[in-house]
Amino acid sequence: MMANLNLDPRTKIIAFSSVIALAFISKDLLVIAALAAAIMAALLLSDRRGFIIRSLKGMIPLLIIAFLLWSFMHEWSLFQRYESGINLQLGVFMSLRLFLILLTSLGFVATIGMRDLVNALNSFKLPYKAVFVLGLTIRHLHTIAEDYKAIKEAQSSRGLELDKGSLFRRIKNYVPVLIPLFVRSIENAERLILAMELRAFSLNRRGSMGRELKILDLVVIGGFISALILAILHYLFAVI
Amino acid sequence: MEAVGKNGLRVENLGCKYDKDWVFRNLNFEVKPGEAVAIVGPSGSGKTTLAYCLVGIIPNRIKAEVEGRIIVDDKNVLTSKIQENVKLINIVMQNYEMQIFGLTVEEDLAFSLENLGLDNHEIEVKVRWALEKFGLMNYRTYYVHELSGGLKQRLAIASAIIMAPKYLVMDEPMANLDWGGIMELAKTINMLKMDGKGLIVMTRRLKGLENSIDRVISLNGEGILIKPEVKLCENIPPSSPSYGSDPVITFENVWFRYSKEKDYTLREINLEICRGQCVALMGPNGSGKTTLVKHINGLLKPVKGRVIILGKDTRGYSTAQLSRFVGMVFQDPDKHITCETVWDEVVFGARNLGLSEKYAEDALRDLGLIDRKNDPPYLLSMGEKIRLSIAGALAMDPEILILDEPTTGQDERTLAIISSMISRLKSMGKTIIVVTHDSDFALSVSDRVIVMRDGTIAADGSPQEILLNRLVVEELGLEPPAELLKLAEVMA
Repeated sequence: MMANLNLDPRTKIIAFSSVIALAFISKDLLVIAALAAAIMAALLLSDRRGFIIRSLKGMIPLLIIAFLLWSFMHEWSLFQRYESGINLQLGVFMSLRLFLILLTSLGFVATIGMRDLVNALNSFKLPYKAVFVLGLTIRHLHTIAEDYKAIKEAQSSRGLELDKGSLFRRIKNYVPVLIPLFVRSIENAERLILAMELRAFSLNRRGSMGRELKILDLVVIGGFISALILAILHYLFAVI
Repeated sequence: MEAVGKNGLRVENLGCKYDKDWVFRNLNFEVKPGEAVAIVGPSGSGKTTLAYCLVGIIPNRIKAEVEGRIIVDDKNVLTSKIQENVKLINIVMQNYEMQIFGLTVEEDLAFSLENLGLDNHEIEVKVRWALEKFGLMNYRTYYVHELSGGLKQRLAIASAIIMAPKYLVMDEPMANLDWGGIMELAKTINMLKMDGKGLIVMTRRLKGLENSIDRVISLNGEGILIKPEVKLCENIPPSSPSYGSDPVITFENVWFRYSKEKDYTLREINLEICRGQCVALMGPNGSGKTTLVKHINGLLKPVKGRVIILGKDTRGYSTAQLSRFVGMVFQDPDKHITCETVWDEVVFGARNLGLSEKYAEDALRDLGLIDRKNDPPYLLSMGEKIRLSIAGALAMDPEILILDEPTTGQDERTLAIISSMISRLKSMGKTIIVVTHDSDFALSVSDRVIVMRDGTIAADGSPQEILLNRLVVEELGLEPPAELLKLAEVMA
């Protein structure tokens, strides 16, 4: 569901937060497994499945370690007390929970555009200043990354060995890369302020987003919120 | 002076100085709606200062002493606020990338309109108009960083025009464009003129825009002089091609791509460059020129095939190790200036490699910077900074010198110094590779021209063979050299 890019970014944020909350609240293996399976299915149907699968492969060792630790060493857990001995079920539960959290976060990052995120935060009535600065940062990350790469190339072309020697030496090697980067960033910041004025910028403007949510969005939001309420009532208050 | 009346831009006795010396003084000129005026002058002649005055950035934001008036439609921009001025006269800066705020094309166009407080429907209509007008419809959902330089510039122009100013200032709009990009820019200028916009184009050279510009004003220290026609570059004597027999750079069937998901940027490159040659590497933006030269000093390693530099396979060496033999001068000198004085900057590379500093002094002298030895590099002009980075490369006494776009934004004096340095290096048996769009410069310095297109070598031969052949120049989308243009004029 989250993978479908037609969902409103606000829906995605709500769905993402609910799943993460559910992952922590639920104490049943089956609930976690069902959630993980549903999200996995949704992500595999999306156009970002290549990215998801590749990233998940890298996480396999982490999941194995989590399984082993929780199965055999849960006695030393700082958070909860369990009976001593080998507890494979706990291992499966904990690694599956970790898997669910990783998968959901990954899906969120993969399917939400930075622009959507900014717009969604904007429509959640966050202060425009903060949202604008976030958007600007995202927009300029790319410029800074490009600059960093270009400076690194220029300095190594001048015989600067960056990744050689002790840790201290290596850190020192990066000084000739960082100085021009800072200077450029400060210069760019000055130009940016100028450019903002040229486009008649003022911080007092209202947010421009405010599209109506579609029925599908409402259904998805409703579904996740009710699941969350049910889980809270069941696990935390034992009402149902 | 003819009165412009209510409509028009009039500069009256304008002068500007930052500290002691006047950058310019007693400037007087007019721009009418629907007219394009070019203001030409070498780097450091005050083009950017004038551009900033025209929109009121000076003295509103940048402190400087200003005299005279700039009247746009009966309003003196020097005494009104920038936010008010931008509705009358706007600017596309040399570093237009900083003027783009949206993550996507559409969003960027909407940005100023949102700032002006228009409602959503109006914004939508205007954005649509601008997308169509500037041929950006197909790119409307593109992320800005995915656009090419030329398209980014067009977006910056569109975003300025969408606020409906009557005049637009462009500061060095051709600096990073290839010939195709310059042709597109000329079209955009013509279109804006038809719409009745007045344009002021600050530039070092006019080439490519001759037919779009109505008047040329030359800017020098004392004042202004209006020239009736465009000055073409001086005639260049043909050099005799000398292809050596001692290869120092060999590309053997080289393929390269930046990542597995992307297409190959270089395809099957086979190339041999011999000692003592000066090779001009040309071709449109994105054709793989920079990718190719980055293979020579090992910044990039081939995916398939190999690159042999002075008998060494680059795959076995780091860039720092190869920098002993290959000097690389990048386009933007600000990217690597680190040290506190010019001298420290020049010997930076030599010190990294543990070489003696004897070449540094010679290099500084040759490039005319020896007097600035103890100055902080940030005080140098752009032309001096370029020369400083060339000196830094020469201080390592490399066998091969690569210059990436050394001519961009340079004045004739710097170009002359670079040309004479190149011929001296050649006589010493060094090999030089110049990446450039500037056909006149290529004709004057190189023995061989290699033209790239879509990651392959599209042409390879003597400069005369390639650059003075009109069919070849047109087919490959190169900038026609002045000689060819003159010839065409004579023929017509």
